[in-house]
Amino acid sequence: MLAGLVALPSAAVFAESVPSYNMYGVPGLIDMPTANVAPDATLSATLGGAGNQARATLSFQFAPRLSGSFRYSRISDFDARDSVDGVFYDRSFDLRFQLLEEGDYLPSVVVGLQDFIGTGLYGGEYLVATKEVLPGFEMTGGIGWGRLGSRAPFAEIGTRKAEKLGEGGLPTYDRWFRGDAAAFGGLSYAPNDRLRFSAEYSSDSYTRERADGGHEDDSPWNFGVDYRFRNGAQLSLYHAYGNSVGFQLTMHTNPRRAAVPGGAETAPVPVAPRARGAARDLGWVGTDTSGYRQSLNTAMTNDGLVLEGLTLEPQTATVRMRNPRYGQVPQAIGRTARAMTRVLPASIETFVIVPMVEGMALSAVTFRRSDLEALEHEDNAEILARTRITDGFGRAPSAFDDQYPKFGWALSPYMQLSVFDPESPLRADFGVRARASYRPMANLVISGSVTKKLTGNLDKIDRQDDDALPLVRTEKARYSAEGDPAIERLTLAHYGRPARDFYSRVTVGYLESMYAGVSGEVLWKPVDSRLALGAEVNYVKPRDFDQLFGLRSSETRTGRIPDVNGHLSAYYDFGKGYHGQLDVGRFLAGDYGAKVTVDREFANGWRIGAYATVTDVPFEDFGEGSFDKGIRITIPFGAVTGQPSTDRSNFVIQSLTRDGGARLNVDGRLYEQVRSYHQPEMAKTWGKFWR
Amino acid sequence: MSVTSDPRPFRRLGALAALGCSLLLAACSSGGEGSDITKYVREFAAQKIGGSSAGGPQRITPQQIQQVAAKSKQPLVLIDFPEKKSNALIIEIARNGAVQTYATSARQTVALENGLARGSRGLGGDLMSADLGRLPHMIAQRRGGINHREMRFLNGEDITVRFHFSCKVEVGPTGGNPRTTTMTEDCTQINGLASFTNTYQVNGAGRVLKSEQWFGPSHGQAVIQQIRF
Repeated sequence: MLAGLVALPSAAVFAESVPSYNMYGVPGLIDMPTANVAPDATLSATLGGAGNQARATLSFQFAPRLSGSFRYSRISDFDARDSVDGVFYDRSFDLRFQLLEEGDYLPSVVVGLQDFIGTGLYGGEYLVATKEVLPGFEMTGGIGWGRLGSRAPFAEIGTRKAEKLGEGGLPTYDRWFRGDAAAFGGLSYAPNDRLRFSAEYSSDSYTRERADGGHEDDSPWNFGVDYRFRNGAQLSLYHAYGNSVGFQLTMHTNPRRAAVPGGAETAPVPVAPRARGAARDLGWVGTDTSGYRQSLNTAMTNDGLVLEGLTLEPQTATVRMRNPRYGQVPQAIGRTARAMTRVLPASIETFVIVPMVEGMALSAVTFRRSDLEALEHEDNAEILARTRITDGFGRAPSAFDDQYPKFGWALSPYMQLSVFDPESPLRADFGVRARASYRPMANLVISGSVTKKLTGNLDKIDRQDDDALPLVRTEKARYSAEGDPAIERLTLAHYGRPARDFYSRVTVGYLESMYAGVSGEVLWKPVDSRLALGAEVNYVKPRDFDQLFGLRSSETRTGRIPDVNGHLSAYYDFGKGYHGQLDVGRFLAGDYGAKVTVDREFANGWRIGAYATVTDVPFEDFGEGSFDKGIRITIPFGAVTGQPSTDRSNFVIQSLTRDGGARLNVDGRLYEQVRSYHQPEMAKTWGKFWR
Repeated sequence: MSVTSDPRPFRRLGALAALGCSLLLAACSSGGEGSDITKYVREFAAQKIGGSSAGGPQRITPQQIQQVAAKSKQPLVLIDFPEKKSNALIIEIARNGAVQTYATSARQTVALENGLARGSRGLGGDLMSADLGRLPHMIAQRRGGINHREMRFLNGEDITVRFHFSCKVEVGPTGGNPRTTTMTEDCTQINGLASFTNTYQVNGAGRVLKSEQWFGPSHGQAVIQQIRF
């Protein structure tokens, strides 16, 4: 027996490069910011607070100089209009931009907007400079406006408006850098990699909290000590406001780091080069070729790939395949090509691999077998340069007779979350979900999903909003209360390739938990294009609250839900990891408008982005928040575990669920299914071709 | 009684899963509908419950080497990663031009060109490929000089990173039994901080019998010994 080589994923250590974070979850001292900047793509979660303040913040270094934060805070003993039993919950967004990088003599300089959209309780702007003057010893000084200019202001620049814009969800541009300005600053000293001591003078006097709540501000001086763990996490203990104790825990991760760089999956089979002169042997032509199919099927199954069809011509072999395993498509293509070199007759020089998703031929990847043989141990860029990736339209061999019909099922636990309800900021349902699918043909699928709740409290939500729009999303609590068991989805979907560059989908049935109807979509995406265009039209009726087979009237307390909605969409890959999406059209409540999404994407599948939806609903009709906006994060299972996987977890943090700017949640939208089999995505992930 | 002392822990787990696969840990599926997350959780749980049999790195014994050598006629290599405290006997499974691919039974492979590292797969943090420049020629001729080489890895984002090295190859003393010449290759990264020193024991026919080579930032040095050509 041979002992396996042991590959232990080495723990990622960020300790040196990530700066200390403050209670607001941004680089800072204690309550005040510094001009330190985290390494590009750092994703940080902070839980911190002192006295009556508790803050949970998610920060992301979106670009080397630009970072954004989303915060959910809890202020107790505070009597604001929206407080519940004296406890006030609030959401806030920050942006920070580095104006100047630290040099030998010059400090790093950062401009920051704190709580720049929202109700503005935390609203403040700052310009801050930080310089490491001696090893481990940093000095910070800055000027703050708004909240950060509330203690001992030294100047007044214009006037700062007190009344908020709209319903509180708009950028508060009319206030930025206006009104009183005050100075803040501090020192920190890190004797080693583990410890850091800091002291600051705060320019925030907590004016509102003192006036309307129980905050006592005894001193502008705050003191703290940070301890940094091996994995980079920061634990801090503070003495704040002259009278309170504060704690903080900050965890960091970076999508650019994987559990195991390049993955821990087993090796691919080696390429089997042909013997010299063997390519001239055409003796196999005209004989029974089912043996080749058998061997190729065995080899591909071994790698978790599905051989769906095969045509053999004297010099060309075309493989129709599916990839249920590899998150990086080139790896699936590479492993298929390797298997082909080992199995197919020597006279075959051209390999065409046609990957299929939902019965759609997404591309045709063509190799010369001699190139695969010659470049197996060379830079993967060389085989990429000799690979042709073309449209799969009309290129797929028909599926073997035994491939369809196909049946599949799954039983799994599920969890549904609801956050940000001031009555109870975190609610959840737990239960069991059963799913099944039946495919009479490759591009036709009947699928459904049923849930049975075991426990939970989503049905306890009793917020009633004075809405000027039909209630298209805000009756979630009733759906949760009455839908047990619930049919989440039950649909018949057809996918197709109507023409070169075009993809289509028609879905009929119970499309999602709240709507039934018909959804049709067409996507235009040339195989080598950065741009894709899509059109979707939906005809829907609201489903009964019990989420079984019935429908209910489209009339709601506040208006009629229109039957027809739909969008025109544009998708564009800007390169360097930035991706944009624009959806323009009619939303569920009949409002017209546009949704803009910008994502930072990583080749290993991580995505972190933000979106905003603005429609023709007047802000006062939309209600709190003025318009829909939020953050979305995609975590690829493969990068986290080191095992290849096509699974991804998607999280959307929506600042508030409202009825304006809401889209139908139909399953199987085309773009995400198509793009990873196209350029430029294939080239981006090509590093795994020979892996 | 603890679970690990059960002589048939996996059978027990199987019965449990069959009994009710909707139990929170043991989700199940067929026909490709399931998610990898539940599978992973289940496998992870099975390992824990069963008590891991792969309790740390194993060492190859001289007896095992003899057994394997007796069983097959294929070229054989013993590879040792001292930093990982892990070694393995690897057997040639393929040959493509000058490059031989050796494999463990656990589907991990190492590609060698006359004993010089050209790549690895399945170790995690693999050496994806290497352009050795004139090194194979210099080794075979036992000649020193300056050489440039490139080594390629995947980073955490799965993007290829290329390390360029400038290397000084020197011919050392000849001796020992079997009689070999010791050659050293001293490499420093161009525009980077990485550096390493490889050593090669080359016989009279210009073949590398034993070597110590850098396999990249994840694995460090490997000791490679050709048991049989």
